[in-house]
Amino acid sequence: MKINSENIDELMFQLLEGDIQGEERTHLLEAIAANKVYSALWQAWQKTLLNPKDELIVMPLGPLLKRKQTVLWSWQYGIAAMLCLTIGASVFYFSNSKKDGIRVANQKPKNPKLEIIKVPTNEPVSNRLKEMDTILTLKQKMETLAKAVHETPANKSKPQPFLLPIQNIKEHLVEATAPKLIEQAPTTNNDKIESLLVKSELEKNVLLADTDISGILVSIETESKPRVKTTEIKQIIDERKRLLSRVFSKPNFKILNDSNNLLDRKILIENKKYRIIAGF
Amino acid sequence: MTEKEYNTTVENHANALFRFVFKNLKVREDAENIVQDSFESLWLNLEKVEFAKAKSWLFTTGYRKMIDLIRKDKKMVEMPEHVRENGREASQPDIKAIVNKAMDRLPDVQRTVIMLRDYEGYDYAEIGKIAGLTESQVKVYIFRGRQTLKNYIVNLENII
Repeated sequence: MKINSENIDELMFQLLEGDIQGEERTHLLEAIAANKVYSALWQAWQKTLLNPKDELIVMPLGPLLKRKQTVLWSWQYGIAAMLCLTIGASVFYFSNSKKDGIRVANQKPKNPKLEIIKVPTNEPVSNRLKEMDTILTLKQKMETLAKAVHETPANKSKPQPFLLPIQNIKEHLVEATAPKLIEQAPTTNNDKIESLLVKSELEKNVLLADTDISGILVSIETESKPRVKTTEIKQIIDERKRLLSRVFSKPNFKILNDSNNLLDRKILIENKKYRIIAGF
Repeated sequence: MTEKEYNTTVENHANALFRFVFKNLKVREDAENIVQDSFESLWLNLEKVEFAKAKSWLFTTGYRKMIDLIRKDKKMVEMPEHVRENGREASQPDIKAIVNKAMDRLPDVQRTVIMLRDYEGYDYAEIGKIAGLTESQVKVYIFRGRQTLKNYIVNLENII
């Protein structure tokens, strides 16, 4: 193909685009090189090719990159979460229960729990004693008993079924001289000393039975006290033995161990009809 | 297309698409928005687009969005004389600046097909798919565009 002014642009465009290959391309390039005008035009055509390396225009790619949100939930994760929660809750529970056992010395609890013992008044004593046997501890039983004994005179006008057994005790006593021992003057020196000891002891630490109930003594120690020496314990027990022997006609005395009491002892007094347990 | 392939497409073709759009619009923000919109569309059509055809799909989408923007805003801003590109200031009338200036004077279709041909190396058929033209139309547009560029270069060289 010969080059002329009419077809030169088309031929050069085809050369540039690579549409003409082989020998034809070689012949055309030689013809162009032989002509200065054609050569200048061919250079101009070649400059119309855009080089991508000349146009390095970039933009930030970060916002374009994506990550699919994978769903982490599956039943394995659920079980693992349940286990973690259970272990965490149990650790929390046991750590708290250990802390509850620690008390700082001389620090009073903010909201001390008061023991409330309800003493029903309209029920027969036998029923209440049965309930007490099943529900209350020994200490609570004695506290309840003491409350019943120490009713105020105003309350005495009301029916006090709880006092009935104590009055019954009085009626069945053969030698009911104990109240008189406190109230009346003793006759012998031994009786004097004994009565004084009993009086002082009772006035200090124990709650006295009302005189109208004829001196049946039931004592409860309501406050914690320092430990007493063993000799003192024996002395107190002997004194109370003596006193109670006067109240009860030849009862059977037993001293039993009881960790619930201050002295870790309790006295069991019983005869054919009654059984009294006193803690110290 | 998978997520990994999508990210590969971003890394391989995002800058090329940006260059193509930016060279046409001359406004960086508009070009970035169009590229982002194009990739967003690709992400939404991830399951429909094959990885091998992702580049073509992206350029087709980008081209359409660009044409829509041009038609909407009628904005064809002349590139400033002093444009900083690649850290090099094109202050002197070198051949690259002359070609760029000549390119700006080309009609949109001619400029687009030439850029797709030269920058991205597409053949006529692929360019036709992107621009919505036939192969012969593409060839004609490319020829006319290059002829215009050649004439501009020749005339400028004669003046200089």
